[in-house]
Amino acid sequence: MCIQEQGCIMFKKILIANRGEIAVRIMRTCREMGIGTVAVYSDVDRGSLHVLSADQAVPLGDPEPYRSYLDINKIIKAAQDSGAEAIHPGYGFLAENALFAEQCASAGLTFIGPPPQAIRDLGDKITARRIMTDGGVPVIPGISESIEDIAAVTADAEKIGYPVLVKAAAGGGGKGMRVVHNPSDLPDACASSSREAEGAFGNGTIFIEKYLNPSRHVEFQILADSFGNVIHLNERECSIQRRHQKIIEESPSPVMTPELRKKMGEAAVAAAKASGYVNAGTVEFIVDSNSNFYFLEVNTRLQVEHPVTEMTTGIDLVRHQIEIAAGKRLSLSQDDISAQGHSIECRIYAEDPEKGFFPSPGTIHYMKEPSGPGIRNDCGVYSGYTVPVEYDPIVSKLVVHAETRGDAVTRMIRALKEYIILGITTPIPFLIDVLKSEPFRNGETYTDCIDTHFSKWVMDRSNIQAARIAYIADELLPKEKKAYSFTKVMNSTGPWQTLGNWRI
Amino acid sequence: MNYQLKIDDSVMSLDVHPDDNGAADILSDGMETHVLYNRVSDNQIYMSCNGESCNAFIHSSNGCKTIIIDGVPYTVEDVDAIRSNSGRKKGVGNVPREVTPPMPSVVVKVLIHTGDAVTKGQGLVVVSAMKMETTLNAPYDGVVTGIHAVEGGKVMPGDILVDIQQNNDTGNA
Repeated sequence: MCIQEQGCIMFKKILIANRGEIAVRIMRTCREMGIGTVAVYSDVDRGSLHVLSADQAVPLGDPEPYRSYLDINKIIKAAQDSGAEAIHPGYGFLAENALFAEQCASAGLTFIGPPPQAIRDLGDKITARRIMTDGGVPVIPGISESIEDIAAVTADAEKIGYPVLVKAAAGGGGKGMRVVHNPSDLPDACASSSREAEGAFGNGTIFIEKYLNPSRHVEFQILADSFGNVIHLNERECSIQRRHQKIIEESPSPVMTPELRKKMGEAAVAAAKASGYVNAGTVEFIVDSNSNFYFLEVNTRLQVEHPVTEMTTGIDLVRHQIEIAAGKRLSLSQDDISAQGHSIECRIYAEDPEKGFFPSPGTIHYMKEPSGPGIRNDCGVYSGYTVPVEYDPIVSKLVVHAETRGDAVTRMIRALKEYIILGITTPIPFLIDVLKSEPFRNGETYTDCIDTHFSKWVMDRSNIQAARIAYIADELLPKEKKAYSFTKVMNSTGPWQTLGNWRI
Repeated sequence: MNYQLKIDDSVMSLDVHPDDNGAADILSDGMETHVLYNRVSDNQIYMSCNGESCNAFIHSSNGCKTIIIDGVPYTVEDVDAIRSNSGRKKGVGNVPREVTPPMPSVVVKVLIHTGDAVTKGQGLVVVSAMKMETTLNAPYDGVVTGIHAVEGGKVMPGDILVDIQQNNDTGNA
């Protein structure tokens, strides 16, 4: 831990204050860098993959987030007891908690993320709006004040014009967000939004903005070191959302032109500089149908969808986060950043796309991950694992990289069809249909895409007869693994018959 | 042998003539399929149906099988097995008439009291699962006769959280 780059000492051990796929992903880079890893886990996470993947694991007890992954004292004590020098917070939980970053510093631990003041300023979306307005960055029409009483907010909403978006000042991930079309729905939306925000982030402050529709959600990845160097690593488009939560992300954005990228990239860098930002961060914008862009918020953390940037730029963002936190100067300049090809990420949640994406926790009885050229699966589960009800239902992030957008789409469809998860319901068939759809293929990826084109989605049942036959075959065949004989099948199909669709 | 297989609401009758060498002729809906099949693992079967290859991934539970083919899951039930098990199975059609969480959840807020008159669609209990809030609504007009939910308590699908005496009806809730 040092300020000077000269003689900068790399951490020997890092505690990852998170769980699931992101903890596993961070540990992988640590291992590649020769850094020891410490996992933390609640009682229900004893058998979680992040525990199995770490060099050491420290129990946190009670599964309730406030008494485990959100308990600052427990996390800091775990780091001290295990001899970790730094803490990587991942995303969610304590990742954007300024108090936590401060207490890490007081305890002599390095927080792998931005300075507490930047987290505080930008983490409060209301303050962030004010900073950007002062810095000349365009913001969405709205009220840069927290909602204190319903009468005032009703008047403000009239001023802005419906539909309006009720948003939590803290956090992210769409939690506490409500679109309101009718004034009569506003009080309920505010109450439930505030309660959800309080539950998820410990802060029930909410505010309202104009709901822009149709629009795209385009964000810029930035890296900033403690010497004032800031670069951006191009954009990610994250417009495909359900319940205001991203499910498909890609880079580059289908809407992007070199001119727009330059303008937005410069705005992102300016936003980082205005807020005294250090480490990896993401500047989110809304882009309207005329390619006007408005500042949305800065996410002061590693994003869920960071892999699409890593795939196209070839840069390990976690490695740079750790190096920056250790006091190293950025080894990259803006001119070093060049993106290749196209990358798409699909989020695989434990949820039921036929029942309003309702969470579907449970035990994974069988799992087979896709593989082959250009495939990456950041996964936090395994066969036999029970997805707990206590936490976010993300199971894994399937990422592909290919030469063109079209190739990336077909590669993702291929990978999704190879991805078998039995025991819990996943949106895999839904994602396949979204990727196959005309609007997606044409790059008409607006934030209302799912609601507009897929609200009445039903599963494609074209293989129904094969499913019946498989049922019978499963009944007829004994249930223990035996040698797989090709000869029988090959006699009738020929040796070069590939596995594929079957139709009657 | 004959199978009556149900997927969603469609039931299909299949006549199966297996041989001893991992092959079968299957007749259904006037069509014949010659199937070769091999078990790859407990959860995977490789089939060739009239010469076209197909991998099926299968998990059995509670008398039905979830079968994934080409990325799409099918829930397949044997009608004969359903009939013999019908005593212990809950009628799916009854579910929306009960105030029960759709998945394991924590009760966030109870919005009503015993004795309250409620109207169809009125919010009764707010539950939270995986950080997502859902309001359980009254399935019909009536009067609350019992509440089996406390704020902060864990509840499971099938737990009836609120008893409602239906208006103009002496039937059960």
